[in-house]
Amino acid sequence: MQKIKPILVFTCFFLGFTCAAQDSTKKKIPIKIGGVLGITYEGYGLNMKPAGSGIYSPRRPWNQVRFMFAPTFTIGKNFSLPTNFNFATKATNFAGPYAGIKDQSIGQFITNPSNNFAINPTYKWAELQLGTQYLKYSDLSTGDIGIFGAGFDLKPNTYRIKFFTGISQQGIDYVATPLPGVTGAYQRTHWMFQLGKEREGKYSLAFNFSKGTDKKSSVKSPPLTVTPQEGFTASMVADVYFKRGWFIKSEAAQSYFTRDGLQPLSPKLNNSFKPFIDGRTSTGKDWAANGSIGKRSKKLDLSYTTKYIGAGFQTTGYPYLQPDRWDNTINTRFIAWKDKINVVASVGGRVNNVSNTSLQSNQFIANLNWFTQFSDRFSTNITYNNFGFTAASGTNPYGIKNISNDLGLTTTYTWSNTKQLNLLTFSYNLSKYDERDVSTGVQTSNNTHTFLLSYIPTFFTKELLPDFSVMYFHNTLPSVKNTLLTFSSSISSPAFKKKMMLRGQVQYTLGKLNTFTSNKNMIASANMDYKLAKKLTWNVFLSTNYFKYGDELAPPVSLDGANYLESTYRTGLQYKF
Amino acid sequence: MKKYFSLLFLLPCLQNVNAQITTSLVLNQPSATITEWMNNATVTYVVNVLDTVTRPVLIKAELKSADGAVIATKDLSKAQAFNLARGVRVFFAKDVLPLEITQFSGSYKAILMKTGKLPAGTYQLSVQLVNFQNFAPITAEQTKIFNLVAPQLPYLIVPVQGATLQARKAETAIIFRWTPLLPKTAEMPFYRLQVFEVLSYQQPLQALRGNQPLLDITLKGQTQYNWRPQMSFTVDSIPKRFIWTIQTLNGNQQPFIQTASNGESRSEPFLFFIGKDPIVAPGR
Repeated sequence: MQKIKPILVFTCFFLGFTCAAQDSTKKKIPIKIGGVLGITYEGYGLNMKPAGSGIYSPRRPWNQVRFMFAPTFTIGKNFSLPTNFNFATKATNFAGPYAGIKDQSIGQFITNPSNNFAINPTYKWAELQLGTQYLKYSDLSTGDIGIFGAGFDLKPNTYRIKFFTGISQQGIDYVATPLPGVTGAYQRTHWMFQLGKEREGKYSLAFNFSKGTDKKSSVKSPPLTVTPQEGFTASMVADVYFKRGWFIKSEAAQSYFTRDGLQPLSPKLNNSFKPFIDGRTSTGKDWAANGSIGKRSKKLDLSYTTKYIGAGFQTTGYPYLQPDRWDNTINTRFIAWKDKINVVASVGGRVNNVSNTSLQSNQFIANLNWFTQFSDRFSTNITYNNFGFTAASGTNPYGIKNISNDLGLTTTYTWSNTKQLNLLTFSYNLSKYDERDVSTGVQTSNNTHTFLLSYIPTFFTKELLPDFSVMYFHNTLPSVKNTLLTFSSSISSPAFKKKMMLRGQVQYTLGKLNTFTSNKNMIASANMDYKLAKKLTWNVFLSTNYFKYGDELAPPVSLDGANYLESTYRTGLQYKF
Repeated sequence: MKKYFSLLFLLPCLQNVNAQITTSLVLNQPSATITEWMNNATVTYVVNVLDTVTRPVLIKAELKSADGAVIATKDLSKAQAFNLARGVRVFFAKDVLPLEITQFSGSYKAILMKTGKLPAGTYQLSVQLVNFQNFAPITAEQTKIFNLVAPQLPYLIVPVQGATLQARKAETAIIFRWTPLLPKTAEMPFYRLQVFEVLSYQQPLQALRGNQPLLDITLKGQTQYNWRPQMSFTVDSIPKRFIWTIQTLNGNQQPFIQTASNGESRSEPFLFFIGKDPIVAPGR
């Protein structure tokens, strides 16, 4: 909280100064406001029979209110003030540092990933960044976590100068009970800096430096399964764009990462990078790089991409980055046959565990999406994904071998008369997943067939838009057979002189697992968007989900025919400036 | 001549002390990430002093490969001396093999500096009490042979990163697949599959770290799950985006790898979208 206070004070001071500066001008400077202001309430209900049986877990908070205030004030030609305040009244964290937290301090509330408080006053090429920012400097330095703090982004001419410092998470005490408890986290502070030169569409050269540090004294009750960490990353990005669509992109990075800050310093291992980081016995230093070369044009894109992440490469700016891998892919997109064929495809592989600290594994990855418009009435879309994963046997008699294959075919046919346009779609998917048992060598196949048939009539003289579909899902494993049959129909229509848009849907699914009696699922949903005024919209969404099991949960007998009713209610007002 | 005389004098002394001190070494599932040994009871060295003499000692420790080649040695000149008195005393890894004064040999040092892990394989840990002045052995060497594995977290397979699923199909079922934990461990891991809705104004990781998951299920060993969302994607006017991940847990339902990156044992998440069906008629 101590670090947040100066940022809040500075923000108020800056805004006050801005307002005062506007008041003192004699000329009338045009002020424009754009953006969104909104409030949403979400209600959730769950009733189970038998009550308290725990057959289903709630998947939303019982009540939640979300606020959104994201206007952009533009004053004159050169000054703009984008703001982005969105926050929820109740903490709902299940993953990450805030997992399990219920009662938050003000500091925890402000830095909770659920919430966002950002102001970015911008004058010509100078942007001040205040509050919560998701700043992506590059793919290997920092990029996907929100940090509450202050910094700037300057773009004078072709130069790029960026700096930001702040907190991504507050210290959170470990709490054991009531279950599931609170995992706890150390307060993490960050700083990042970029110096570069860029000419859009020509080249980009940038040096990035980022650091994150956990404060050991930030918790009274330290987390049991989380260690205080510290990481420093330096990277260089170089992109060049040539004539006729050719390009080369590259980045190389070096990281120093301390996995456990409670371990002693280790001058012997020579893994310090002073003054940025002092090496400990748990500090690793490793590198990563990515690059791509290719050509883009109107009808053909072709590129080769490679990405290597060293086994010890870690950065606090991408906490979920998985290290120790080398990816190579060839990607293409082309349009052919008088623009009637559109193909997007990629093929490549991944080697895991390149450092060979355990068994190396190989993955083959191939994706294809082929769309053909044969005529105005008839089109097809074919998709294919293959993912093969193999690893040596090691101490097991057989190696791991998992092969995933997905083939999809969708055909669409339209026909019309003077009253209506009809659209019929048929879709088939085969999803196959073969897995080898490493002890016996026996391969099991998990096969899924999906059929979908849809019919949509569009009436030329009516505003009512119905659609109907039926879907069959059949999944088999050696000891499991799971079948789902879904009937679905929806309808939409404008009302009140098109001020209101109404949509409704009913889904009924009959499910059968092995020889158990069928389970049944009924979902009814409705949505309304009503324009109360030119810029004010009222949205209401209602959904109710009733699920009745067959006898798959029994014994005990009391669970034979167990069921639950889940309701979701959402209403919100949105004002667009 | 003096040397031999001294040795002849020391030999019975050593035997005498040996008889007065008994030691035992226990290793409990060592992790390839060697710093993890320091935080728990991976290495337990129990010393039982039977006589009433108080003596300062050092703990000598060596890490060897399966063929007996020394790969790490504790620098005894910098080691902490312990005063052993009558009774039982328990030492842990941070006392036995403190990494800050342990010298690793060439290739092992390089890989440890990069990854923080020792390569997978069979190792031996030898521990012995020695005199704190001349490093002469006080007790017999205790050696334990152990295997190291460096587990790799699963990678997500489908829905692939950035995939757009057909709304009608996704309303009935969505198939999730991921690779298994590598290498296969004797204890079957638990995979916690979580799917989070990314609200319209949210960043994907913001949703993962801030929202309640729509699906939160823990599965033992299996690497595929057919999710029945029981939701209406076609009616809601708000576009649907989801982020999903796998958290790999051990038998105690705790994160399998605690000192790697996020410390949560969560695999790199994938984002997928629920698209309007390609069957949508013109004008809708």
